Amino acid sequence: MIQYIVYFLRISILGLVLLPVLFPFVKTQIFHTKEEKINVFLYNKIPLQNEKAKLIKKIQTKFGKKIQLNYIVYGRDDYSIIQDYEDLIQKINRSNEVSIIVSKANFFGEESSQFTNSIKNSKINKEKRLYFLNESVDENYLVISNLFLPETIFVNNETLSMITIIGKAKPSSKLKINVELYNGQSFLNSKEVEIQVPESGIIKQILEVPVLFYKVGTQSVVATINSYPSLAAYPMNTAFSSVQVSYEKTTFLHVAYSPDWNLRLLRWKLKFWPNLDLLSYYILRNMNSEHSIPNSELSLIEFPSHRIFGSELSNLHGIIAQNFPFGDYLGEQESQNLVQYVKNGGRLVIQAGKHSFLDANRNIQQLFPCKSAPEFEEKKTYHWMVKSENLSLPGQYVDSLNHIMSHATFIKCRPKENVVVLAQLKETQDPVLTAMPLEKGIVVSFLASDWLPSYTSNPLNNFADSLSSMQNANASDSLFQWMVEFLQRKQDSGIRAPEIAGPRIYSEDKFLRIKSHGGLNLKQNLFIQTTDKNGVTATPFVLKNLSAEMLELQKPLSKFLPSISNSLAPSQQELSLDPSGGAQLLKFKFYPVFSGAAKALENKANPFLFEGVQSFDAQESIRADSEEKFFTKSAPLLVVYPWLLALSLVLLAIEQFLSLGTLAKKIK
Amino acid sequence: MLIKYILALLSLIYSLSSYAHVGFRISWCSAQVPDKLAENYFALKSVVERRTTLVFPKNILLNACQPGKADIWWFDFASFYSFNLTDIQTHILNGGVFIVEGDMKDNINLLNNETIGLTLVTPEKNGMFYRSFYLLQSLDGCSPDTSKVLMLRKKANAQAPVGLFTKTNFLSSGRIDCFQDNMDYKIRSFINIMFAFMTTDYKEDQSDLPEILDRIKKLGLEP
Repeated sequence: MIQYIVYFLRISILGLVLLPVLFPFVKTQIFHTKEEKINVFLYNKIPLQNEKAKLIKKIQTKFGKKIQLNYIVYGRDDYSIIQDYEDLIQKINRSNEVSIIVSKANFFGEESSQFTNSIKNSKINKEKRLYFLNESVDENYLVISNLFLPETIFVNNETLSMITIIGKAKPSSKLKINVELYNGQSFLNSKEVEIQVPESGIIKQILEVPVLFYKVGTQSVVATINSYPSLAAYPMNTAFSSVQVSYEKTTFLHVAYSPDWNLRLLRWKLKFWPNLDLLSYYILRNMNSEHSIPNSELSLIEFPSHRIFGSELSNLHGIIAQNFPFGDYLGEQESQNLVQYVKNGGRLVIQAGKHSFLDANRNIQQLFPCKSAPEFEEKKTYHWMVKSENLSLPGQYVDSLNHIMSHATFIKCRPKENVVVLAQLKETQDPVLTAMPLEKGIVVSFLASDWLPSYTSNPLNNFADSLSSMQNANASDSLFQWMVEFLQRKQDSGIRAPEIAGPRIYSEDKFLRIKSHGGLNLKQNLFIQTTDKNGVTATPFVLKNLSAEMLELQKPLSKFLPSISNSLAPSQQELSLDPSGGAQLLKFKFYPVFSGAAKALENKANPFLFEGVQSFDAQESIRADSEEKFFTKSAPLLVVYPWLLALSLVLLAIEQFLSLGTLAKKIK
Repeated sequence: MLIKYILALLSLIYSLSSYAHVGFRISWCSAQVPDKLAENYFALKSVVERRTTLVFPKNILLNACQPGKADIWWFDFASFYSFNLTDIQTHILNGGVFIVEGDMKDNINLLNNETIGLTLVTPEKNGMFYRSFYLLQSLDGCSPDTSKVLMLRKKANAQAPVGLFTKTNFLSSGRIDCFQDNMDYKIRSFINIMFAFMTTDYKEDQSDLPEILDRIKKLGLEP
């Protein structure tokens, strides 16, 4: 009998010893570990002091009482809502633990979808270790989530504005929504629609309203919604957006001296550019040329400087002066007119050539970017590079600049104080592409004459040369497009002050959303001020995750704005942003500004904000039916079940005891 | 003879070694270098630079009708027909131009390609080849004028000349063209051709030119 027991024990021991070999890893549920830590992200704008105990109980009900809660606060009292959610993304990305976001979900607009994507793609959400706990007030409402207008709007051309409305209403009921759009004080358009609320009660509707602009420049558009039954209320039934309105067809003056290949290519590209009219005057002979042929046999006219730089100047949208010695062809009055044209908001491109930047005329010298005449170098090849620390420019533009090379380049230019260097030479660090604000206008100078020719100016001996030539050609095209858009006033690459962006401004705001035209100069502080010359310095910065351009004011708007009543309706305030500290002519625009009291009502929940993240409340009921919802991981068998080893040793001891006892009996 | 070889050698060395920037670069494309190529080029260059603001490259290049080596490819008719047409089309589409001089053959229509916007046309009498600098009656001195221009059209109102076929022997020599010994008119034609290529159709931008129209009327030319 004992012998059979011994055999059984031996087989059991063998089985136990072989178990870790046959099943080295097993799945285990990590919530069962005693030292489980849970990060709880608390929104600083939710007063949780009284609710904390309730919250802890709620979490413990789900995860068990032995969990350790680690509270992390996101957002700041003075932050705007977009910054609160930027802060949340940063903190979620750093979290490795199971995390619960406690949020009001009061974030709407274009960037809210970017936020949703970031959270959805975060590591802990992909591992199903992220939960969202909704703390918003449960009521019916309608808000404008986003007011969208295209990047490029042409004057006198109808454009569609898109107003995204989000809300919550009685399921399956009918709603009448009325939307009105204003540009400053003038009415733009309105539209009324009737919608059927879905069974879920959640509304997401995009309304398209055509609008027409009658003047060019940057303008503010305000949209307001009302509904029946009344669900829309200030401030969230209003949103504004800054738009850039430009001419559909633009007229450029192209003046040049001594035509060459650069002229041919630039003219060729300008002529083939859509919606662009070109007026060209080229100097084909000068006073020193041989005049043996009578004028009557020539097809040339005297350069009409008094006409084009006089009466016709105001009709031009932009001027390109290529290798042009202004002083030789413009009189004192014409020179003054040209400078005044730029100062009044005109745009001038100086395309360098051997005869550029040599004028002694003081008026003309105001247009040059260098303190003294630079040197023209024709023998060396120079490579361009973007001066990235100066500007925050779109990637495509930066890439373009880094692929351009020139063989006829001005070097040793010492830029004037107000000049923004957009690109410099890799070899010498001399500026090669500059922009200079001159009161309301801007002068862009290319300090190389042959940045445009690519294929015909560089030898193609091998595949690498061909590749480089292609990159160079693409880069030149991109830079040419930038130049045309600059002349058309579609953008200015961060040279001009940006505009205040929507959707809403509150008088207690210390942080404002802004929108630049082609890039934000992070190194340059701005001055925000009212028409009464009250104002404050502000520092620009960019939110990395939500890619939003922002401004930090030294003090809130309420400290220098004329008193704003506590009424919930916005008041129209004339504000200006200027990079020069207010010394230059300012461009004021009307912006709708809400009172600080209205800011407290920016509390409606965006039901789509945490789409793709597990709802904490829904999780409770799910757990009751299925354990599989728990987070599990693989672990070595002996780590999960260490008692298997002890059991084997006990069985071995019994087996030894019985075997030795039987043996002793036999010896006796 | 020795001078000719020295000039040709210097030009070759220049074409191979230097890419110093010039306003534009011209290359002679034929393997056979005409007797007085350099001499003819310098003569034209000298007069053009005296009369206009155009600045010509110091030398005409040899063996440089290749991508990236010259902007203007200059052929005689014999060498043009032996050249690869695809290479010429690629040169045009990348911004280059060509000029073919000498006795014209019938099959120059080969470059016509409507799909990429290339059309061979007779230059208009009121167009840039006849009006860019001088007011001309004939571009090649012949009556009737037999010159042909290859135009690249991209928009209804935007086109640029990319090639010219002319009977006039500007750079080659030994053959008599319609200008015969009238060097002044030959130079006028050369200047107009160069400006037509450099400035394309810039005069069409100037809507208001009553002064020129009056001169055209007095010379009895087509308006």
